[in-house]
Amino acid sequence: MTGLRGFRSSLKMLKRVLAVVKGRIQGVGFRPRVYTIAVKFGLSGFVRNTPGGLNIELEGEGGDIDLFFEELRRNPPPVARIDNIDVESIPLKNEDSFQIRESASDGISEVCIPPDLATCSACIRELFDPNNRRYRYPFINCTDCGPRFTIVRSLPYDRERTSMAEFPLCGECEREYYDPLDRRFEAQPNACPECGPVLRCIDPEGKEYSGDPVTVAANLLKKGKIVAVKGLGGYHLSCNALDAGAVERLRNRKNRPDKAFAVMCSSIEQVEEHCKCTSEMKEALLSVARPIVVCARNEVQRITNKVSPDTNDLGVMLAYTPLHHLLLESVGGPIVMTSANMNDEPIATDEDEIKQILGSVADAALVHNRPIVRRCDDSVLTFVDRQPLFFRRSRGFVPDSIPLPFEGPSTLGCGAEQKVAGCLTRGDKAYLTQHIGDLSSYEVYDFYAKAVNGISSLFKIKAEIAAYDIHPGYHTTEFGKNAGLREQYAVQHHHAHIAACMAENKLTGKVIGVALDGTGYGPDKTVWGGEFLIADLSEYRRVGHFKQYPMPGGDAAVREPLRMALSYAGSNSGMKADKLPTFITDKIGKRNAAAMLQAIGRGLNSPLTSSCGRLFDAAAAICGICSHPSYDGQAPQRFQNICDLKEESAYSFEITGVEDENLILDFSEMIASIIGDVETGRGASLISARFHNTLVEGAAAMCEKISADSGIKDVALSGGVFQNSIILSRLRKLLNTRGFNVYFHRKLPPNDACIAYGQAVVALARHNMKR
Amino acid sequence: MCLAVPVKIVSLSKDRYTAVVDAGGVRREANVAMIEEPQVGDYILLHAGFAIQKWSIDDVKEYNEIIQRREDSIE
Ligand SMILES: [Zn+2]
Ligand SMILES: [Zn+2]
Ligand SMILES: [Zn+2]
Repeated sequence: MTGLRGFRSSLKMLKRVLAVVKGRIQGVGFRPRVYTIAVKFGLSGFVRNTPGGLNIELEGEGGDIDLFFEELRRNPPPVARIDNIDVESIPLKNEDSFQIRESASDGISEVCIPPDLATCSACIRELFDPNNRRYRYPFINCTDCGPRFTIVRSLPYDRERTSMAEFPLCGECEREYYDPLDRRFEAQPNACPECGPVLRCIDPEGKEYSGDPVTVAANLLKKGKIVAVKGLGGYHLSCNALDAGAVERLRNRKNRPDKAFAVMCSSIEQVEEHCKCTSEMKEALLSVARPIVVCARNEVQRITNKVSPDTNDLGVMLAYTPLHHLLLESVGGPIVMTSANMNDEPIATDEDEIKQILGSVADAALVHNRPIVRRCDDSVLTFVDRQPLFFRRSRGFVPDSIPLPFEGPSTLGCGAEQKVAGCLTRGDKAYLTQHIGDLSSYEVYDFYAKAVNGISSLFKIKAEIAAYDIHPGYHTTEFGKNAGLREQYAVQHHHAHIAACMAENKLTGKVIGVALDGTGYGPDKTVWGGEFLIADLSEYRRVGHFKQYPMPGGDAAVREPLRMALSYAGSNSGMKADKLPTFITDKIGKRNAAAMLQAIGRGLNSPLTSSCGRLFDAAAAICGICSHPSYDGQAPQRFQNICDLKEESAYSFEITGVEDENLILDFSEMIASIIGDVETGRGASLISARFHNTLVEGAAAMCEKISADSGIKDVALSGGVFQNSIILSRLRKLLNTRGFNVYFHRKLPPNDACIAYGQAVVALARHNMKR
Repeated sequence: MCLAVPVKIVSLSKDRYTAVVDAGGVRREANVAMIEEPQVGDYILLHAGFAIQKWSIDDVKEYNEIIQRREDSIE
């Protein structure tokens, strides 16, 4: 020991520690913060990213080191998240300064990168500052904001492993990038008009318009044209949300007659002009994730109701890229922003894909040359009783991990067939893919496979266990079986639902699982969907279900709710066509109705179902709400929308004996009463309210019966029906007043997007039981 | 002998619940409400007036080949 440091160390107790920090620490300005704090307390050493986490070596007085960690924990960078800090003492090295070192890129990747982050307020200020060198530059970003997940090719998150690799930094950007005290220190997508990507506005022939591309596009939008806009995870189709003609045109061209479009606003004030939003909704809208938030529309507003014809709600979001901010400023008013895709295809991400839409769907396109590495749709959520309810978890949330209740070997959860998101686990964390959609076409399946492999390679997760649905025909089942993993588990759909809800809530004991859902394959080869289970994470027992009804024509009955109306009404009237209510036979045709009842009677392609979704379909169709839906869930959506929220009455139902040792929740009396109400001319709002109330009371009564036998007081709710806020809120309240502890999803959607996670949980629990 | 014969959908009613089918030159009505998305040109298997399943192109080809072979062997 020599010199001043040696002298100091002889007076004070010097020590050196190695700290490994885990959490969301890459690409969020973590190292500069560490640097600043280390310098503040006079500590030497270094910080660097490694695939095993952020390594900090600190040398100095013990008290100062403690102060360092205190401050780091209290005051991390805005979007960072510290999960864990491991500290161990190591020998002194007697360095003179503190350094930020290069990333090390070998080994297992324990770090996680943040999702894409909305443009921060500092960058927005610069974007609109005529004296700033990035004035109106559509790709402005800094360490606190900008793309992440959608541009990263592999970890660690450094520029050369992103789609920014092809844009060498200019002198000034390079200075910012290497200055630890600059806001753009190591901001991987850092760019400026000198060196970064460029924007173009092109016409259907691919020819570039002259003039400022944003102004050109804004003028087209104002004239009622449809413009494709390249976003973070794919293209949107945009038009003026105040222009009914433009929205109608977009509907016709996209072949999407009724399903709601999302609207993008320039500010929270503009949102409030059109919607009632609670403080939670506002907070979510303004969060760095910038999801679409479903809010109630104001009574008087200028956004055309063609944007969401089936509901009084509106899906709104705020601008989240500099390009959006520029565009909205130029247009002034809110714009429709819907994923650029045709029918069931995945969202378009490159110029080849947008070319197919240009001319036929879009009148022009705002394109740029920063490639999208991973396609990613917008996330959608709302709040029910001040709690978040996800419809779609994607941009802004993926690839953040979801905790598991226990540790285990890496597991692949494959998902179901609709609303698919794949899942991979490592340790006690699960990583879900972005929203994939319904695996109906090869393109979507290809997207699914790439997304699952993407998570696997990004986080260097090598799965050892595969978990998939017991349905033999699902594409995801095939994917899981073909993954070549030695250990495989087939998981029943509704057990996966309940396990997902339990795991999210860290429950590991036994619960009453209430899965109200559209379709799931039952081990008895019937279609399940109104299920009451006694479940833990590894096993389940079906203890009750909705009374089963035939689905005339199989899947045809899903697309035509009138068939379900016929099935329920027919069963109630002894399968006699002449006893069916005339308003049903009128719609289907007397001869057709008779023929269908005959076919049902012979068991001809009429699988039995206990689905709650089908019951919704039938009730809505009987009320004449929706006989030929144009999108999945349209009938329940409309039926919920007309519900009279003040109405408290309900129909009667019955819990009948024990068919295959199950309690049967029988709604035949309700169906008869609904038919009676329609025949006596009662309004659909009243009928809808009574229907909702009956369903809630029926489900709660089942829970009470099951609890009386089993003593279980914890209830887990899952399944697509719980996207219905009336059912969710009322059932939760009723069960609470009856002394139950009720658990629900807060991180994942209750629909089939939670299935992959639930499958992985069940597989892990079964694996751990074996040992 | 009861041989299932593929018949071809010639036209569909507006509600797509019934169809006119061609069975070896004979036209008759059939109920197609219980099969998945019936289309004009589809081959279907009829049972007591109900279409009970669709035939794929391969099924029809195979059927025709079998019939052809039988006819050849009879000659
Ligand atoms: Zn920023
Ligand atoms: Zn530059
Ligand atoms: Zn489901």
